[in-house]
Amino acid sequence: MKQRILILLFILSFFRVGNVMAQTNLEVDKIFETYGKQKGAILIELSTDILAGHTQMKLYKSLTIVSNDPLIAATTTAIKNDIEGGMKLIETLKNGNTETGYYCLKRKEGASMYEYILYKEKSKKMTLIYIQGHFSPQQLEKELNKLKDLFIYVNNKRIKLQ
Amino acid sequence: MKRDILNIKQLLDQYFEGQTSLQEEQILRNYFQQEDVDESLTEYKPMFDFFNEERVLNSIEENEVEIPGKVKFLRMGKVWFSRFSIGIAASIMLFFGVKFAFFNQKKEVSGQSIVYVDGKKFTDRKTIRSQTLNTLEAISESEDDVIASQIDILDSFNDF
Repeated sequence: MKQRILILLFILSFFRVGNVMAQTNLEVDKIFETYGKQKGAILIELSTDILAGHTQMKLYKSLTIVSNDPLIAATTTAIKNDIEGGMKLIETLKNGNTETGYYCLKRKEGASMYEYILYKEKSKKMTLIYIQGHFSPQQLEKELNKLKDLFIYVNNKRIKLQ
Repeated sequence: MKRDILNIKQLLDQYFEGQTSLQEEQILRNYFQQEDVDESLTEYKPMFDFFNEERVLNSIEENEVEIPGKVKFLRMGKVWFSRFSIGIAASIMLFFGVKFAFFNQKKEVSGQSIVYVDGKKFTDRKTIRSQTLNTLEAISESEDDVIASQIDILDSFNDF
């Protein structure tokens, strides 16, 4: 009987392993999944193949889409739930609604990874960005500029945006 | 009747000495199975009832005794369930545990950058570059002054 209990506990440990790897079960993930591949949407996921060696970011994920009231409501609710215990870095409101927001999520104890959510809703267009990286909030703007520079200069020439 | 009881008592003494034959033991069992057991011998009745039950159960497992099919099936089913249920439960939990762990891993950094435009997948650098730049411009357009002033506040944050 004791042996059986030990076997069951061992198997249950697999559930825990899945959780400590990264804070990936965010509500904004559902926004990316639900709307990312719809018509009119642009979903970008940048990984180590582009980011490594150029920025401190480990993961960059963004969604740009034509906005509507249900989408805005779902996204702002998801952001609100995900940033609980975290920090608002920048937030601008218009008519009581969030127009721009930069947020840093609450870190797990001992974790070196920071997570950020960037949000903008203006002129019927919504942009949602999720970033994982080993840099503090004070360095967020610098890292975003690094990323921009990575793409804007090709062969040391500044390219035109399309 | 008295002679029968004496006979039974004698057989009982031999039984406890371990000197009874199979036939004599069957006589004892048959006697104690009946309702009308002598008062002086009633204390032995539960013992022979118990032994009789055990004998039937063992016979079921060894297929020595014919019993109603349904009872035999249920008995074997109970044995099978108690032996294999823990293994089945462990297998199911292992399956979901591994699936859960790998499902979460899927959301981890895959190593390859991707862009989806209107649901269509692109992995070429040109598309990734242009779309990312557009997004970065969109998140920061016309807000540079606001952002610059707000970023200064970050210097005062000491919590992180």
